[in-house]
Amino acid sequence: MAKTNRAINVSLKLFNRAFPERVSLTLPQGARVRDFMAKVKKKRFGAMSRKNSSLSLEDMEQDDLLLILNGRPIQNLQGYDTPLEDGDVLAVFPVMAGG
Amino acid sequence: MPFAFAGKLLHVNLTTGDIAQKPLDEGKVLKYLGARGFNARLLWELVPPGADPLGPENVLIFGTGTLTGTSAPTSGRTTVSCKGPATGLYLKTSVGGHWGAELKFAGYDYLVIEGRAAKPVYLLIRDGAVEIRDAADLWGKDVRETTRLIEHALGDPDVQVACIGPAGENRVLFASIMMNYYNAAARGGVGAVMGSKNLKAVAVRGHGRINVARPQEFRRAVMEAVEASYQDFSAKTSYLYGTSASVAVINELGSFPSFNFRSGRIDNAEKISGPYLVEAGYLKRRMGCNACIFSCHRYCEITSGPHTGAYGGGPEYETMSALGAGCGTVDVELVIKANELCNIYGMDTISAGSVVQWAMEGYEKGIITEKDTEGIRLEWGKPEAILGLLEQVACCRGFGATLAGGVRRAAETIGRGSEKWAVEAKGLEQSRVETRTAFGYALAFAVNPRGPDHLHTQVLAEFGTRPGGRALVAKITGDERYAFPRTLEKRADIVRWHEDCYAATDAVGLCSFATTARYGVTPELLARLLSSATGVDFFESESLLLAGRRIMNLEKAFNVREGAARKDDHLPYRLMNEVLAPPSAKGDDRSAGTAGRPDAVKEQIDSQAYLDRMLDEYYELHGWDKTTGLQRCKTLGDLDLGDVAAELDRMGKLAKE
Repeated sequence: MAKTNRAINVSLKLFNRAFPERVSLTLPQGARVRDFMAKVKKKRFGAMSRKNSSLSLEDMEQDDLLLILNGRPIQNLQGYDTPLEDGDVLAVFPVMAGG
Repeated sequence: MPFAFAGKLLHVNLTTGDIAQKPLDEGKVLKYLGARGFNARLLWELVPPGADPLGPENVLIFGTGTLTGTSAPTSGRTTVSCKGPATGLYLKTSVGGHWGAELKFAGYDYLVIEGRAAKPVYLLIRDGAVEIRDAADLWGKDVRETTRLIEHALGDPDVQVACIGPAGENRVLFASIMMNYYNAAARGGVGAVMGSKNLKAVAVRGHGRINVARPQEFRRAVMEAVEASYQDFSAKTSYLYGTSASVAVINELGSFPSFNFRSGRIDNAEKISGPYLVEAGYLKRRMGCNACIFSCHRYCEITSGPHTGAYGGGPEYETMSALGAGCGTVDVELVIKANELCNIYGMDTISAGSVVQWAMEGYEKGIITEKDTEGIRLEWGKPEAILGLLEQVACCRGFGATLAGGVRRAAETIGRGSEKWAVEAKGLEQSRVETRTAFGYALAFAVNPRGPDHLHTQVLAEFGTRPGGRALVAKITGDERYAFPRTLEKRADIVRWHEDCYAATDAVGLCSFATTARYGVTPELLARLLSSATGVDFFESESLLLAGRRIMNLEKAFNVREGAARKDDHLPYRLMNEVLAPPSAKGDDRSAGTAGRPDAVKEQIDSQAYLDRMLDEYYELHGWDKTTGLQRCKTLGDLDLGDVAAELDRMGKLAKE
C-alpha cells in the first residue's frame, strides 16, 4: 500500500553534554534536515566557549556543527537538503578534529 | 650560529664513551627540512642494512623541529627515530612536550646515540656540557620515580627528562620513551631500543635562546597562523575536551574500534569521552606542549573508589579505544588507571591495549586459558585482566613475556588461527582508526613505512565534513565531490598530498593538528614561517611539499634496503576479510554528497582487489614500480636522492626504468 501525506518521526540526539539530550519530533513528509534544524534551533550547547557560556544552535555557523544522520555525516548525503524519513536519527555535535 | 637552529649536533657513543659535538650543516638539514627529515637521512647513513634493531649498531636519534624553540604555534614537536624493533623497518615517532625546545636551549638540535653502554647510564646535557652518568640507582625504577630522582639529584625541578620505564629495560617491543612524565614517544618500540643501549634517561637543561632571521616578518606569520587556527571552531572543542572529544562522534559513525575491532560501536561510549572527563570531575587541568595554542592534552586524576590516587596525562582518544572499548569496557576509571600503568611502565597505550584485547579474544575462543595467564581470567572488560596483563607485559613475566613482542609474534607463538584477530601489519598494531570505512586512511595505513597508524598521514579531509577539508580535496583532485570517504576514486592523490604535508609538518616541528587536522597553517604559511625564521628563501609551498616527498621517499628507501616491497603494504587480516556492521539498519540510498556522489562507492573495503586498485594508482603516482613497489632511479634522482638510488641499485633493489 502506498504511503501518502503521513507525518514522520525523527529523533534528535543533541550532544550538548557528555550524554546526549534526546528529543523526538514529528515533521511533515518531505521535510529535510534544514527543516528539522529550524525546529530545534533554540536548543543550546553547554560550555562551548572558553568563557564557559552556552551557545544555541542558531548562534552557531552551520560549519561549526557536525550532523550525522543514521551514522552518516550529512555532507556524504545531501547536506542540509537531505530528505528525512520516518525513524531517522539525527545526531548533532560541535565540530571537532584530530584524535 | 644559523638562524632558527642551536647550531650543533651531538654524537654520543655509549660503547666507547666518546662524546662529539659537530657544527650543523644547515644546507644538509634544510634539504630535509629538519627533525623527521634529517633524522631519516642520518638513519640512512648510520644504520647498516640488516642491523639488529636491539643491537649496538642501531642508532637512536632525537631530532628537534627546525622551528622548535621559537614562538611558531604548536612548534614543540621532536622526532625520535631508529630502526624499529617491532617491524625491523624504519621507525619515527613524534613527541610533544618541552624536551625538544630545552635541548635547543641547551645548545643542540640533534642528539645521536650510538653503541651500547656496558652498564646502565643516563645522559645529562646542561648548557652545552655533556656527561654520561651512572644509572645503577635508576635502573628498575618506573618513569615517575626516575624523573623525580633526576630532578632531585640535580636540584632542578625544571630539568626536562626523557626516560624509559621497566618496559624499555625489558625490551618490550612497544616500550615508549616518556618525556617529563606525560608526553610519550610511543609507537614501534623506541623505548626498547633505548633500553637495549642501557640508556635509562636523557636529562636536559638549557638557558640559551633561538634567534630568527627576520623577526618582524616571522612575528606577522606567527600571528597569521594563530588567527587562522582559531577561526576553526574545533580549536575550541580541542581545548575543552581534548582528543577524546571525538569518541562519541566516531561511535555514532559506527567506526569506534571496540572488542578488538570486531565492532565499530560500544554502548555508552560517552562514558569514555572528553566531555565526560570534564563533567564527572576527572579532568584537573588542561596542558599544552611548547608554543601550543590548542592545549588538547589532559591531566586527569581519580579521587575516590578502587583506583583512588591514579593520575596522569590523557587519556587520549587512542587510549580510550585501545584500553577501553577495544578491551570491552567503558569504565573510565579503569582506563585512567590502565593509562597510568602504561605511562609509568613506559609502554605505548595503543599496542598495550591491542595485545590485551587480542588475548581476551583468544580466551573467549578457548585458545588461551588461565593456565597460560597465571590464573587471570581474560574476560572482556574485566579490570583484573587488563591491569594484570599490563603488569605482566611490562615485567615480561609469565604470559606477559609472550605478549611483550606484540600481537604478530604472540600469534606466531600461540597459532591456531589467532593471526586472524591479530590487528597488525608490518608487525605494528594498528592505531584506533576503522580503515574499512575510510578508504584514504586504508591506503595511507597500508603504505605507512612504520606500519598501520595515523601519525604519518592524516587524511581527515576525505570525510568531507569541514569546509577546509572539502576545499583541500578540491585543490588536490580538482573536484570537491571526492571529499567522500567510501570511494576508491582519487585516494592515491589525496594520500600522497597528505604524506608530503605531514612529513613537512613533522620536520619543521609543528603539530599536525595545525596543518592536516585543521587547515589554518597552510603549506604556504608554513613556508613563510620557515623562511622568515631561517632566512633561507627558497621554501615556497611547492618546494616545501617537495621536501616532504623527499623525506617520504627516503623513509621508503630505508625499508626497501631492508627488503620490504609491495607485499608488505597491506592491512590487518580482520580489516580486509571481516565485514563491519553498518552504522544503521537504514541504507545509504540518500547518498549524493554535498557536491555530488563520486564513482566507485563501496560500503567498505573488504577485498584485496579494492586495496590493490588504490595501491596501483598510488605507486604510479609516486613513480614507483607497481608490481614490486620498488622505486625508480629517475624518481629518486628527481628528488635529489641520487646517492640513495645508487646504493639501492648496487643492492639490486631498484625498479627497472
